[in-house]
Amino acid sequence: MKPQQRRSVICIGAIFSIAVTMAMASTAHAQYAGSSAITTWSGQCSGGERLWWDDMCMAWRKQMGSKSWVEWKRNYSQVQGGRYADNSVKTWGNDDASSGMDWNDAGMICTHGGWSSGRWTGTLYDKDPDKSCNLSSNKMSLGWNSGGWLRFMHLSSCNSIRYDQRTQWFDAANGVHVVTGFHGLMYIGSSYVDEYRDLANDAINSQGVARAWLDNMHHVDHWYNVYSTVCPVAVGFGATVQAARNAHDESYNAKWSHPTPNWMHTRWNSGCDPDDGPQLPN
Amino acid sequence: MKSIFWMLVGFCALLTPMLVLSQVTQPRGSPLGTPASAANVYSDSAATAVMRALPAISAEELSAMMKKMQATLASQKPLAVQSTAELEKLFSIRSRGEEVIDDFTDSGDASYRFSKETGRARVLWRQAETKGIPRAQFAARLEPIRATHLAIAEKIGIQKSDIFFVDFRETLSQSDADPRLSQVGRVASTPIESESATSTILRAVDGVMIDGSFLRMSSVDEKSHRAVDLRWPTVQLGKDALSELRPPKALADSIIKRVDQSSKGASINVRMAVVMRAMDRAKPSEFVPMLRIAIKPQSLKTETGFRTDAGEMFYMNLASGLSEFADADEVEAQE
Repeated sequence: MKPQQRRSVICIGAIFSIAVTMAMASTAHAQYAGSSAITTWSGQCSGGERLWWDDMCMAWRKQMGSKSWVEWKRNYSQVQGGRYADNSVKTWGNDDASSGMDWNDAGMICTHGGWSSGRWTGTLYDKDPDKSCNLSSNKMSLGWNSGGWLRFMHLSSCNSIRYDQRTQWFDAANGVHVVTGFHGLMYIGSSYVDEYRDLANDAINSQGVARAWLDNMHHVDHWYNVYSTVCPVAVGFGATVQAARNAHDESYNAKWSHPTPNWMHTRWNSGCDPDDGPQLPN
Repeated sequence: MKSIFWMLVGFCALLTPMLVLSQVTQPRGSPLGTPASAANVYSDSAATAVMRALPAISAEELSAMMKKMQATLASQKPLAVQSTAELEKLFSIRSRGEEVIDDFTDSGDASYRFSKETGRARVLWRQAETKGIPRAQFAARLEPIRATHLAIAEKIGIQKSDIFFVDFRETLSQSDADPRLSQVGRVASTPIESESATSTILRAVDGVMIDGSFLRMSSVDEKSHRAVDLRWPTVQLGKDALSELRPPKALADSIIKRVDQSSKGASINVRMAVVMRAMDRAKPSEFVPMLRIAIKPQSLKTETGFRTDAGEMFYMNLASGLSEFADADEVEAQE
């Protein structure tokens, strides 16, 4: 190598090192917003096609990105069981790795959801190593005390927090502050995209994440001769009743300390009467 | 005596939301929507589900409706809130003297933003530590809160004739102890408490819903508000709204194909409504008639429980000059 070439290589190397150092410095305190969405189930698990689901979750993630959060996404065929399961529960679980959902400070899973005895069952793209198509709270362990980072877990999924099954989320609570989801059926479509963006906008600093979820995801859909409601539900965790209640006021940027989940506080809109679920307490 | 009094108060607490909800107007037998008789009927045939759900309105009736709406819109007054300053004044928010559109301004006790272009205002009040309120006690606040919300709607400049439907309900909450920590091994729960009450006022012009336009307001009592979400854009008819229109039944074949693609033979219910919707995000005031269509799948029994596919909502243009499908989505690149 000629001296001139060597100088060029050294120079490029130095510039590269500075760039990498700057990039690392700028993300040293970064928070991650991660989303996983399926639109077409072409793998081993089945589900009706919902082309707008990724747009809804992408709107939330990109808005978080615009607020200086680092965006993380694993969509479509990448929605595989290990990414959402903790290795303390399932040996094949890998959620705390950089490719796993618990790598994020705030996460969102967007997939079909049903319910079994006592808990939500989200639909994966392919079967997990236990030959199951179901994501569920008893395969998860979310948050700091499980080796992960999640403070906020959003479930854009039907039946993810059915009122009578809400306490299932104690099983997954291991430092996570708030879990949000739906009682009964929720809907997918272009008209829902903006509210996912609004969730990020409202809750980044101005409002508690759990409150913003209830405000933005509640729908009164009128059809002239009938009307229906979509029913968001949020749960917060804390060492005491009041601490669990207060968790609903934590915004994305607030960075409160990680809770001991002795108590769960659940909020909902009275009498909300979703498709595919009983009316919420009125 | 005291216990009888509190029993009566408790009874009223349960009854009041029902009474309030029953006060809303629900048009019956409207040709703009799916007949009530079809609202909860399932079929594994997309064609059957769609044909059952088609609103009865004809092309002539649609055209007449648009002409009437054009005249109504020409005489409508703009909202009283047309600037950030007017929003601050209406809700007595301490002003920073800035026009804020894209991001929230924080005035200490409230965060807020306003966009004249989209007719969107959002105000979020900062509350002291939230306390649950016994339901019987909160019942006394319901009617004053409901009246306050309607009075504020009037102050904003919302005309009574534009109010299509008012949904009013409480935000409730409850705490549960981790059953694994309980000596008896079951969940110990606190009583359900009230936190606030919320009105959602849906908008229509001449009885036709303006899709996505509403005022939502939440309050802890008649004086302490928690949040306002105003989505009340100026409505003007796009030129396509006044040209040739197609009735819902003319779209039946395309809707059936679309529903079939989504449901793949599963048991579904379909609902439809003729609405006015902004056709272009870049022109938030320009509205055209569309057919809003919802697919509601029925739960499927599985080996381990029930699988419920999410519902789906999509829109079709009723203006002949526009493509039939009004939505186009974006596919993300993989990581």
